[in-house]
Amino acid sequence: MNARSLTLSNITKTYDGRHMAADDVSLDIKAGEFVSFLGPSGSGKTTTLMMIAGFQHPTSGEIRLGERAIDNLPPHKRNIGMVFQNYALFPHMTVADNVGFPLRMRGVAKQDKERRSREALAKVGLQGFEKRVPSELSGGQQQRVALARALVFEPDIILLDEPLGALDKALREHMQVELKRIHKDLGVTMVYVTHDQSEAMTMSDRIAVFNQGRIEQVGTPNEIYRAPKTRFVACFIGDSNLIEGSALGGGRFDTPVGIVEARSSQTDRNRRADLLLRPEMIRIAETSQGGRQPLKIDSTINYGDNLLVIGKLGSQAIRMRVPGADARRLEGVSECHVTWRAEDVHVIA
Amino acid sequence: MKLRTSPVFVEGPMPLIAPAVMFLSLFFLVPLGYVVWMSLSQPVIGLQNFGRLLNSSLFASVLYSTFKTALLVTLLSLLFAYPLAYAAANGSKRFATFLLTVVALSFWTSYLVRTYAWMVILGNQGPVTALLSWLGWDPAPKILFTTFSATLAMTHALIPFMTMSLFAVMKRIDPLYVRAAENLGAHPLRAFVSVYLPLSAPGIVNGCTLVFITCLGFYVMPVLLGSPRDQMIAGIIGDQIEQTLDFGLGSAISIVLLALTLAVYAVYNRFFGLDRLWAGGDR
Repeated sequence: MNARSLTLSNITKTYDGRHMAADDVSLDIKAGEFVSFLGPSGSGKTTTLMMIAGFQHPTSGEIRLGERAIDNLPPHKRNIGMVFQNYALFPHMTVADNVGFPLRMRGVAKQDKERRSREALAKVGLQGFEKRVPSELSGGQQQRVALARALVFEPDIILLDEPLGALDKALREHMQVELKRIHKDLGVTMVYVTHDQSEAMTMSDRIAVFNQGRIEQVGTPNEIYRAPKTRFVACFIGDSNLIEGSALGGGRFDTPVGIVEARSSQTDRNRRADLLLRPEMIRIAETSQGGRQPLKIDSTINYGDNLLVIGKLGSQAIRMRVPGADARRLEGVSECHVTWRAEDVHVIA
Repeated sequence: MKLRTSPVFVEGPMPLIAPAVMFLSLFFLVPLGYVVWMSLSQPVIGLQNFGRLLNSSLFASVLYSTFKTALLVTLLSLLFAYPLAYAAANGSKRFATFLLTVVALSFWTSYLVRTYAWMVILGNQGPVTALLSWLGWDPAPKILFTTFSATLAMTHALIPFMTMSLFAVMKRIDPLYVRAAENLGAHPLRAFVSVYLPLSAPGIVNGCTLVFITCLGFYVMPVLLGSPRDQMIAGIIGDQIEQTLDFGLGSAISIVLLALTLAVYAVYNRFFGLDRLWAGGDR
C-alpha cells in the first residue's frame, strides 16, 4: 500500500474570530507512521482531523499529503480513508457493498471490486460476512468492516476518529492489537484521534498532545511520559506528582519535601521549576533517606496488582504506587520512609 | 402477606380502552354497518347497486381519474415537500423552526378556508389572472374550475403531511453517513443519491401512502375548485346523496372507495408494516 507523509503547516481554525479551535498547529507525519492526536474533548484534535479529511477548512495554514497540497480539494478527491467514531456503515447496504462502495465510486470493474473487497475483509478477519448487513454485526465486527472500507481503496493515509470508543474494555484492547497488526502489515500512514492516554501510549509511534487548540508536545510515548515539556502534558498522561521547587544549581532543587536531586542540571540558580515524579518511581525505604521525613499515609486504594498510596511528605501531597509484592509491608502502617532515584525526577522548565 | 402489585389493572388494558372502543363502535362501526346494509338493501335487497357500478362506464372513468389525480398529487407533493423537509432537517435549528411553522400554519387552516382562498386567488378577478393578462396573455386563461386548480389546491393541502413524514425520517439520518460517502470518494451529488436518498426512502413511502390515501377521499376541493367534467369519487358519492337521493348507489360507491383504500393500506402493510406508518419510519 502506498504510504504518504502528511504535513500540517501553521494550521489555524476559528469559527468566531476570537476562540481558536486550532491554533498554529504544525506537525510532520512521516510516511508509514502511526501518530495519535491525544487530548481532552474540545482540545482541537478532532477539528484538526476534520480539516485533514476536508470536512472543515483551515482559517489559515497549509495541509500537504505527500507532495500534494490538499487544502483546496473537496473531501471526495483527497483519497483519504477514514474510520468514524460510530463507524458510519451504510445501514441499507450489505457488508460487501459497504466495503465495495469506495471502489464503485472510483469506477473499479465489478470483478475487481469484488475481489478487492474480499481481500480487505480477509485482512480484518471477516471472511464470509459479505452478505450480512451492518445491523446483524457486533460492535467489534462493525469496527472491522469500517476499517476494511477505509483501506480497500489504498488511501494515501487512514484517519481514525476515536474508533474504539464504543467498544467494551476487553474488545477495545483486542482491537488495539489488531489495529497495530494491520498498520504493520500494510505500512500505511495512520492518524489516530483519542482521549484515552493508555490507547495512545500502547499504539503510537508518536503522540501529539493537544490542549486548547494547540499541540503542547509531539514525541514518542516514552518521551511524552518520561520527559513532558509542560505541566499539562505531565498531568494528562499518567499519574503524577508535581513538586514546585527553586533551583540551587547542579541539578539540586529546594522543595517542600526537602532538597531534591533531579536528572536535569540545566536550570539556572533560583529559577522556579516544576519537578515531575511519577508515583510508580517512588519506593518504600527501610530508613530515612538524606534526613527526609517519612510519608504520612492518608489513604490507600488497592488495585490488586498495585496499591495507590495517597499521603503527605511534609506539606506536599504525594501519590505513590506500590507493587503488589511490596503492598504487604504497608499493612497497619500509618507512615513509611520513601526513596527514589535522581534520574526519575524530571524537570519541567 | 402477599403484595398485589396493581390490583386495578389485573384484568388487562380493557378498562382503559373501553371508552374508546364504545365510542368507535357507536359512532363509526354501527354507521359503517348501516352503510353496508343500505348498499345491499336500497331500494331492494340484492347486489344490484354493485352490478350497476360494474356496468357503468362513467363510474369506471371517475375511478380512473380519481386514482390518476391521487397519484399526480402524491408525486407533486413529494416533489415540493422533499426539498422543504431536507432543508428543515439539515438546516440550522432556527431555519427549521421557521420552515416547519409555515408548513404547520397552512396545515392548521381549515380546508374550507383554504378552498375559498384558492377561489379568490385563481378566480377571474383574482391576482393570478390579473398578472397573466398584465404580462400580455390575452385573453387570460381560465384557471379556476379546472383540473389544474383542483390539483394545485390538493397538492398544497397535502404537502404538510408529506413534509412531516419526510422530516421525521430525515431528522434521524446521521449526517455522518453522507460525510463517510464523500470521504470514500463520492461526489456530494452521488453521496446524496446513493446514501441519503435510500436512507430517506421510509419517509417517502410513508408520506406517499398517507397522501395517496387521503387524496383518494378528497371531497371539498375537487368539487368546489375542479372541473365538473373530471369529478373524483367522493364527489359522485355526494351527488347520489344530495341530488339523485339514490342512497343505495351512494352507499355502494362508498363501500368501493373504502375497499380500495383498505387495499392500498394492505399493500403498505404487506411490504412495510403499518406500525411504521405512524412511527415515522423507525423499525
